[in-house]
Amino acid sequence: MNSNKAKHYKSKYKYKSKKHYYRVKTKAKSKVFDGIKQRFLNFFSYWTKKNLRKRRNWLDLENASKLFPSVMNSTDTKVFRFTATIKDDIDPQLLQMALDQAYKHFPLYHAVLRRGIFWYYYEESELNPIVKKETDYPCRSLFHYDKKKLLFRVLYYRNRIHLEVFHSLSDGTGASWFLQLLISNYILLRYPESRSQRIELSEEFQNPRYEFSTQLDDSFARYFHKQKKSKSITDKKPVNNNKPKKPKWKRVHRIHGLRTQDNRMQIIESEMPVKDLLQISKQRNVTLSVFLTAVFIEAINKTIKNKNKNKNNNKEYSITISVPINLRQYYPSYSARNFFATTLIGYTFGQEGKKDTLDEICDCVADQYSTATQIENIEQKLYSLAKLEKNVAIRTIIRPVKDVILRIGNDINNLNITAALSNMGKISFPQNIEEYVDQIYVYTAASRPQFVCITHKDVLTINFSSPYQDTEIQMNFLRRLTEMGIPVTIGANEVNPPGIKQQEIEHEIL
Amino acid sequence: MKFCNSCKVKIKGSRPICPLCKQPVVDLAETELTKYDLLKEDLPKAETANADFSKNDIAKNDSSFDPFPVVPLYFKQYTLLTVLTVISVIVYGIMLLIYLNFPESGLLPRYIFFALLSLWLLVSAIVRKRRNVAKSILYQLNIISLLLLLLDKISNWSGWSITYAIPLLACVALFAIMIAIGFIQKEFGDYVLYLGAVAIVGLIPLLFIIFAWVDVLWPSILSISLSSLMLTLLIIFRYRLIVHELKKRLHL
Repeated sequence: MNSNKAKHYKSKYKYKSKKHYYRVKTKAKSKVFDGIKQRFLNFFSYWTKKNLRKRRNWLDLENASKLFPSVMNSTDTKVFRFTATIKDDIDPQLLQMALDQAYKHFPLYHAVLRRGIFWYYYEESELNPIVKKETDYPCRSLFHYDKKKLLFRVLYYRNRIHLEVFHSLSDGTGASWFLQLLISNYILLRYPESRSQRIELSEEFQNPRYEFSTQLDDSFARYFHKQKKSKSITDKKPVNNNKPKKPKWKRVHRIHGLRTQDNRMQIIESEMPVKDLLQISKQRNVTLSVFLTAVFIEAINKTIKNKNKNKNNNKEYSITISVPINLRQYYPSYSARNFFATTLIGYTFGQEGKKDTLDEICDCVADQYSTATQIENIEQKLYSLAKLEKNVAIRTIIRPVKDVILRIGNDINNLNITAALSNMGKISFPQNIEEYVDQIYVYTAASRPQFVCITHKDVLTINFSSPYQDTEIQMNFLRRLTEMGIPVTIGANEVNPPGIKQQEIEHEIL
Repeated sequence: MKFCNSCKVKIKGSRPICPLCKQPVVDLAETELTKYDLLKEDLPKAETANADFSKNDIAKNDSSFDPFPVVPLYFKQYTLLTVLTVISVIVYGIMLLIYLNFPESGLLPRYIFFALLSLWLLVSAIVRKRRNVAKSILYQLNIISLLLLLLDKISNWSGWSITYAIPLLACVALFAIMIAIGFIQKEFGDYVLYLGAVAIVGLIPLLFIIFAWVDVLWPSILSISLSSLMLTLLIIFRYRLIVHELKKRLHL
């Protein structure tokens, strides 16, 4: 009521006199004039402002990540996603707080990717990440050539926290460190009772991975640069073991199929007790990775046979699986950037005197794993890659041309790959956090059917991603596991949903 | 939670069909609750910063929630591109028809081609470079200069493009870029090289004078003097920034 009265008074007695009226009016005019004046003052002071002269730090991409921005496209966005399921629904405000905290400890994640004349480079930014509710399909593109965007995003949906990272920035191991910090922060905020227990942090969480300089370390350059060859941890030459160095593949099978309608990934996540799987692989005297690779190869083969039921060709063909190897296990490094190599594991079907049973595949795969993971064999490849990168002829090609060359090279390389898988190993959290975290899922955008598996607590999750609508390989794989008596729970995203989303203006016009 | 009898897997969510084999699924017995639900009931609910939010959503959390949100199909629409193409084709077709039927009308196909070419080049440059105004101006300066040169060429060369148009355009671009970035008030590092590049383009009329391609000298001299003044100022006052930016973008 009081305010009403005041308003009335004001409107009635706005101007005390004619003189007052003019004074008020000229004041208003001068306000407008002041605004304009300020604009022009700003305009001229722009050229002298010191903070606008800032020289932003920048960083070169390391060997492995140079490929990713060039070969990414709308399907294979080179984005991978970590998902953590928490006990209760996610509180976005607390998640934001947790993210802000974790973000401070990871200088690498402050980077934006930009295009130079010869190479891409990271530039430091002052952007702040914002958590968003998941409304889009998984692993959407994170890099835009002309926008300064952070190369990761944090999303939440019900009881899930997603961390999506552009592969150029970091590999799975590096990103898992960020995830561990983010989730730990969130749990400590969301469940204050978790703070009451005083626990000793295990060695794993005390390593220098949260130090700035180690995080930004370019481990490829450190270990594989030409001049620094003496730093190599071994001087041995590659061991041949009287075997052909590279298994010669017969016609490598490539998977084709009907793509999803809007190029989204078909995700199928499955979880199962890791104990059962370990038991089964132990019975066969192989490791878990070998076993899963063998089952995957068998599942792909079954799919091929199903499709070619009527055809009766006994030609030999190979199925090859691209497998990344974490180099941190050979070379001491706490770099949060990429530090991995890939190797090709395969099996040739239709060879004489072989029945192509799972056991035979297991033996063959186990053999290849043991040679492939020998450090001498990995080193050789990495030196040649580093040499290639330092080649003057390659360095001086301008970036757009380089992009095309890399894309073609990548396509040629892909001709030899049927599918891919990655075993992330085990992920754990500090003791007091662990009980609040349920499962961890990881998957990646892929140009062919692919899976990533990760173990958390006693549960192994195998997460398939594929650009195709067809799910026969995944079905054959999981049915094979359930036949062995392993209880499997799956979840999948919808690739043929009802309705069409309206165009967002934000996206590319041309 | 559902169960697929043919695949023998439990399926999260309320989907009526199995995502693996596309067969209908059955409901899992209510008693077989998931680990998630058991945990949830055992533990007391923690305080949250946003109490209302947590109450509402936890209530909705039953065993049959889908792990992923349903995202409607999403298609890229090349609206502008489509419109441009359609307009270009129609206009060119009509003009060609007119020319073929009435050759004396003076509508030469090369002018139409020129008009459409400029439309395409300018629109695509503006759209693609819209996020950096300095870059956009640099591209437009180059494109318009070349287009004017072409226009001069196809309309019986008389040299107006290099005498007046290009030098004056370079001066205008120099002022435009300064005004634009002065009012946008963002970091100078993003613009400095483009400003320098525009100034260097402004030095090109020097060639016109040296090779005596132009008779009227004042536009070229104006452009050269303004550009060299700009370059000198930049090098004196922003030398370190320029070197930093060049190193960043040109690193091998």
